[in-house]
Amino acid sequence: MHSNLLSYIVFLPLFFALAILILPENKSKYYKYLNLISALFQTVLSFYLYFSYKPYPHHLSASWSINRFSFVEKIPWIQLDLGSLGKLKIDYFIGVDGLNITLVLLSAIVMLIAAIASWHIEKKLKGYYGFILLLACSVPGCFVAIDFFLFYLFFELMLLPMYFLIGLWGGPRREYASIKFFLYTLFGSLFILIVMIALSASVIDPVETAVKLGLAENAEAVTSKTLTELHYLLAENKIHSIDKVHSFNVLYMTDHQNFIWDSILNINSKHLIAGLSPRLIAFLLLLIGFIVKLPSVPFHTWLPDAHVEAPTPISIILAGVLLKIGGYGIIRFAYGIFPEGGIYFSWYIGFVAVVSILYAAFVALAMGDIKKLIAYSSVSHMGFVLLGIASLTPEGFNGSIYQMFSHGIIASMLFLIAGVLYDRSHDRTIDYYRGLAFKMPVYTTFVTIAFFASLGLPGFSGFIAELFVLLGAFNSQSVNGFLPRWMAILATSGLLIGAAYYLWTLQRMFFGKFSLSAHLNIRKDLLDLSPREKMMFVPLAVITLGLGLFPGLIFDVVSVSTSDFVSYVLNAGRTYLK
Amino acid sequence: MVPENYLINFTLNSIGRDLLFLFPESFLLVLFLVLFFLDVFFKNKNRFYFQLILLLGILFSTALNLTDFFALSDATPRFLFSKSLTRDHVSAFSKVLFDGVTFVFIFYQLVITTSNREEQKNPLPDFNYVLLFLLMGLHFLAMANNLLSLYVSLEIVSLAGYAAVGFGGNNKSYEASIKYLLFGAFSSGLMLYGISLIYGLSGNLEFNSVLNMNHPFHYVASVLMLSGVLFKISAIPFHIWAPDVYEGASTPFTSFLSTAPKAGGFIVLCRIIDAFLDINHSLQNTVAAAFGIIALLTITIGNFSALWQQNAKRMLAYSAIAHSGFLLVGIAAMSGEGIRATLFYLFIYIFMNLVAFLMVDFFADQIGSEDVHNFKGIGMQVPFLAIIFVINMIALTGLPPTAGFYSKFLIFSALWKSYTITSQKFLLVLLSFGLINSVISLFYYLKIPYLMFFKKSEIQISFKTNYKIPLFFSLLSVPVLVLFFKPELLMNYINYLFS
Repeated sequence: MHSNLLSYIVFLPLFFALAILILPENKSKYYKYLNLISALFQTVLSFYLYFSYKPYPHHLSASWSINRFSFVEKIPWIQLDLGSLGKLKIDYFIGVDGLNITLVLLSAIVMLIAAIASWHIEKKLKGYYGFILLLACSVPGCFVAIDFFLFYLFFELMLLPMYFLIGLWGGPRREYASIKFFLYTLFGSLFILIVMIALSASVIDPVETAVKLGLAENAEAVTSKTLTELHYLLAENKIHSIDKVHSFNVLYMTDHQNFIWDSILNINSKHLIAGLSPRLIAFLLLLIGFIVKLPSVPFHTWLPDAHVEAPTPISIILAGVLLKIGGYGIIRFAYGIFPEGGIYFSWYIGFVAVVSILYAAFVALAMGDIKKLIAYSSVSHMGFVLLGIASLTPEGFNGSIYQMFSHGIIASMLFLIAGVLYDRSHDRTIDYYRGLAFKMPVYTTFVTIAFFASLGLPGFSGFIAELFVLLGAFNSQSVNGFLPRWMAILATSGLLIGAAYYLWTLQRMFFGKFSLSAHLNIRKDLLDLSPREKMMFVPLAVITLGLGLFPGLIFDVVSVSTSDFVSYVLNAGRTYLK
Repeated sequence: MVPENYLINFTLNSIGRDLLFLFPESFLLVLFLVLFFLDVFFKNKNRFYFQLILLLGILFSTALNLTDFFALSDATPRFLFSKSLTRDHVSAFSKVLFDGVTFVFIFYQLVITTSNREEQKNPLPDFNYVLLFLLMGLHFLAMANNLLSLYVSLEIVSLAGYAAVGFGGNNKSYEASIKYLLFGAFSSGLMLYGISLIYGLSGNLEFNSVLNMNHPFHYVASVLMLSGVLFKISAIPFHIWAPDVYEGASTPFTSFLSTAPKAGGFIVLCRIIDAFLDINHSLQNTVAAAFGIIALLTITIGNFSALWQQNAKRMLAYSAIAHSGFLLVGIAAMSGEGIRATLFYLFIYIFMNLVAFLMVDFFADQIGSEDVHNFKGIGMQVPFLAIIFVINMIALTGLPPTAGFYSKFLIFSALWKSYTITSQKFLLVLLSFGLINSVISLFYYLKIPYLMFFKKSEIQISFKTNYKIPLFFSLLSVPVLVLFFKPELLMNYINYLFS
């Protein structure tokens, strides 16, 4: 159980998907129960994972090694013989550390909420639940994969289900939105693919290569002495290319000694592309690929369209977890593999983050559709994730990871809010409603909680997250000098705008005398929340409040990894830049 | 000094011995004669049995080639007829592949299709003869080891192809046949002229003299010679025939035409490049650049033309052109890895394209139209078949979880490695354009699935389907899925074949 826990979490939904595929169409009312059971199982397992995770003792080893991961599973998967160019090795390699464990938990929680929110989906149930379960497999898969190839696989596997879920079950302009989503993400993933190909050509698996060269009898017999010898041989270009075992292992990619001597991604490479070293270019490509997913200005325009057209559960999944893959990818892959890029481009990344925060907040202020408003607020809040990463301080990184979790929970709540309104009136225009507080008091309570959590009121998780990000951004100038202080100040004013659009919306829609516009065509009366809806709101509200009061719940598992990661990025990055 | 008649005797003996190794081809000839005499005696009666005999014959031929493939060892001669034909793993494997494609094509027409069209259910016996000759030509093409045998086998394939396209049963197919003939004859003339120049310049007809350009005039000769091969694989600028011919021929035959002869062309091209790499020439970068430019143009023009097509078959025809471009990328890498990646791609391509064309035939036949806009709503009516179709479109785009992903991945990896070795900037350009083109191709590959699932059908269609059809198409799609999870199954084999 313990040793295969992650695989169970990732692949459990596939078995349920199979069951749904086999069940005939006339049993379709059971599909949602199957989906719910799968999500429940996943959540229980994820909580078990979270509680049994022990951060490794501080500074266990100098390099970024496998020892830092728990629940590791490593099975050889594909071994391609490339003839004179050696071998290509792909592992089924998964594990968790502080950077991704909270995200696995988040994805399970969000998928569970989405499963409950899917209750009233009526058409083409088989396809719908099949795709949802496929997502429930690929999203945690993305988070736990430590092999780049495996990650890319899960990343691409997410595309098609999402395309169909938006395109088939979405709103009136669903076709446009789904294609836009698909193309943006695919373009982003192509950049990632280019870097992946380049990396696989440049990086060798030191252990397997040592075995192949006869330096050690088998993989277990490889010691640090063997590795030193191998790295020496590699640096002296004494290994014949036929003996090189190429690898997609991200951990090997973070060690510059594993790069082939004359490959262009080697840190000593004298190649220049457009005046930059190929490693910096590769960093930029990865960054752009993931920023599309995050999304950040200027690649954000697919998000509002996708959100407005997607059905509520899909919006929840999209905002709750899919965007986080962008943030996680930047940390693990872009910064992890090319640390010098994070230092070299820190000013630009910070700038993009600040623009993203402010611009999206201003746009949100002008939105008349409440779902669009929430979508832009998502862009604005994900900007904080980027800002925290750009600051390259432990506070900033911790804040970023905290923000990802917190935003996942809060965004789920916000999109539920939009969904509840849409279910009742089929219109989300803010101006059409007034004084809803009198008609729907419980709903209004949760709206208030969600809005205040999102705008960063102390006591809610959003406050802690943004506070730490801003702390990191403020400290950056004095600690490492990467981000000027005005960026932090501008980002703080983003919070102010956030407060403005939330409070203004609250005032327009919920306060005052109850009245509805004549444009509204309300089929059912404006009923307050049903028990099923409360079942979704209550846990989310509890989590955001709980995290606001006990930030240690996240920081305790995260902080060791992040502070080590930041010091790795700073040390390695500074060395490589020289 | 050896007496003259001894030499003649020796040659005659070796010819007699070599003939024995042409057993699979002789069998095709026998099959042809059997069908021919049956036709003479039982005119127009029991056509179904003729087709059945043909089907079983092809199956037997596949089995023959398969045993031949496994029986290959160093003990048997590698070259036949004084080195004009070669007998190696590649040729044996290609023959199995060609026979397999033919088998699938005939099997589809005889057993699977629900079509009542006369030319499919009861093709004229003449079509079978032409097909058998086409197949025989492909067999020789797979074995061709010098320019003369290459030319002759290519001509057999082409001539039989011109005739076979005309059996589509409508005016469009006659027109396509004539177009194919005109373009084909022209390029074959160019090729023959090129071969004669090469012979004049280098004094031999070996493959390695094709690109061994040590005389300015040899450049012209090489270009002329290669134009014949480029025509067969429908590369730019010799692609103009492809859309019309693919559209004009009956769709099942198009599925054959777009896979087997193209594979033949690529195998010859791989042999030529392989021979060229052996002499390790300083011209490598020039040749790579030439193929790179052709590949780039072929991908781009094929893709952008496919974007505007409303006819499903025509769209797939342009997509097939774009795929030729991707395959040429592997050639442009100018390395053993590139050639192996091309072969891998070719294998996957054959399966993807077979399924794509045959499914379009199935759908178009039921709807009565090849216009993509009439495919609306099919996804809701026959979801299983539509999902298989989507999987194949994803594979053609090159996305996981299909082997189409690996084929593109390996091709681009080979290109990247060539770039790191030679640091030629145009390889990087080719790489980025190739990747951008895969995104562009998504627009038209997902167009049909999009219409199938996202749109409501305007006309009421009741699909006639049975257990055979989903089974047939899922079996054909198995390699595309399985080879994603275990690509080494095929790759190790290709390494073994082409080492």
